Amino acid sequence: MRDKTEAAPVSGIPVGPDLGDHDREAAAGSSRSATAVIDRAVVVALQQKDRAALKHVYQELGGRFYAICFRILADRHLAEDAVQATFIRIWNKAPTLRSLDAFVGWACRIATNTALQSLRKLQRRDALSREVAESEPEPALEAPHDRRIDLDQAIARLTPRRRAVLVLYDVEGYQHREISEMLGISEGTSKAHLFHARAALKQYLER
Amino acid sequence: MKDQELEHHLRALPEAIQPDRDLWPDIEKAIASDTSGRTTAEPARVYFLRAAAAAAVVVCVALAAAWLFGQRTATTRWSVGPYTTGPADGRSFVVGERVQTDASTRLLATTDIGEVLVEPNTTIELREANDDRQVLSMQHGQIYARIVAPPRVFVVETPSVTAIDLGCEYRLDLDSTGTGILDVVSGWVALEHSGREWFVPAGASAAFDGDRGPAAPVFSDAEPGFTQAASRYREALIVNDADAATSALEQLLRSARSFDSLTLWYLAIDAPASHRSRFADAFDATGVLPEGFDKSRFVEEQPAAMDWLRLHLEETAWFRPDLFFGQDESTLPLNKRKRIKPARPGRISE
Repeated sequence: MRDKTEAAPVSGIPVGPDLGDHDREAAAGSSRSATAVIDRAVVVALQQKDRAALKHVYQELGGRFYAICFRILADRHLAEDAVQATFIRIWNKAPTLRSLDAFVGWACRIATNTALQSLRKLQRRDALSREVAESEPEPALEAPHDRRIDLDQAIARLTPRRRAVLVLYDVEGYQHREISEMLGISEGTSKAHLFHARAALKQYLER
Repeated sequence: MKDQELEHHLRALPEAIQPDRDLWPDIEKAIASDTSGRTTAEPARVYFLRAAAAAAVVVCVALAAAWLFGQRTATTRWSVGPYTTGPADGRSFVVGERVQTDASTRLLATTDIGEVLVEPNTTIELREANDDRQVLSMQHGQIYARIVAPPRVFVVETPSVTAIDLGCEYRLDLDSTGTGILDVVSGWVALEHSGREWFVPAGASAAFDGDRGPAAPVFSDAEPGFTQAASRYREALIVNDADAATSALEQLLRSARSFDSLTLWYLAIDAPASHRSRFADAFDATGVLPEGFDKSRFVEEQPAAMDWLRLHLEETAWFRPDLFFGQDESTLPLNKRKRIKPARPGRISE
């Protein structure tokens, strides 16, 4: 919806990046984004509403987005829906993207926000939004059927907020400050959720 | 098991997981469901809390497409009429005409690119009504604009600033001295003053006054202490009070979140070099700087670096999808909508 290509300069600053490729490549986001690289030409084509470009992004990043959404939502169907919504948002928002090399980080952030939004809706709908007391014990985690460490299964058994904090911090690499903003909780609560989530996981893995 | 061991296992989790089924057909179907090739349709199980806002986005994009492909009409007609519960049968509103509401009336000015609710005690004038530029002049009062035009077509001039619509919805509040505030509900709005522009995203507000133009935009859910510190910092720079500026800066940096880099970036523009390094460190601390970004370029106020950083932040830290597509009030009549949040940036003149 936004087009600032003809924007007047701020403070007389000419619009238009003049940084080297290294800086551009570094713009992929501060958290764990993805090792996949989307070529600038694909992003440009996507901005021009090229469906083949979106399909290419799906092929490259669909699994990445699904991993983010599944780990946060712990539900296969909800994760599928969140991935679908993510791609629709990317399709609609891509024309406003200016830093082409930041595409992957930007897209992963959209996937994360979409999953969190879905989680919030789910919590509201299912009355799960009642604050989980930080001392509340984690639901009993069954020991794995075999020795194989199934972390994703264990993560899925955590309470929603603890799961979200653990995934965002330990898996996706966000900082507590960012997580507190994303989830609307304090940094201290974020740390507490992480502590309890890790404790539950360790208990599970030590069985 | 130690934390480090657990972290090792967590970090070793696969970056990607393939879903059980191919999601592409559903994605393609959702996108194709809009004949223009642009859609905001959500998947079936994703709830439609923002359906109306999404529809507004579709209309906006569709009109933009029509514009780009030369399907626009040659002239643009405005009408104005009393606002009750929805668009009224308005009379023609012509260029050069001024309308004024009293304390008990509202008017709705409509055109093919959107509508403007004129709140009580407001005076506006239609200055231009060309298809590529439509300008309202606002002397005082309050308007709520919902625009579905390509960016930079709809403009509201005030005695102090010019609000340039970049799509799609905002509230503008102005007193008779030219002091006012802009609240952006969805999309982006640019405030222009003396050749500079301040880009205000959805969920943020920017106060302004006649002499000094806009203050740095502030997200409406910022900590009150941060918002107050932003006002104090700007005031201190204006009156050249170094101690007050340093004090305000300390508070700013203490309470800044990553989203608040929006405010920090605009404050840093006018900050002395000694303070810019603190701003750069704050960006770093909140994790918004892209890896490898050379902070010294920012500290030295290298124009390209500063603007490059702004563009990066607009698409990362400042991009809040929940806010960009508007609030959940989109189905309400214009006059029933509330302000986004009670937190306000301080008036510059205070």
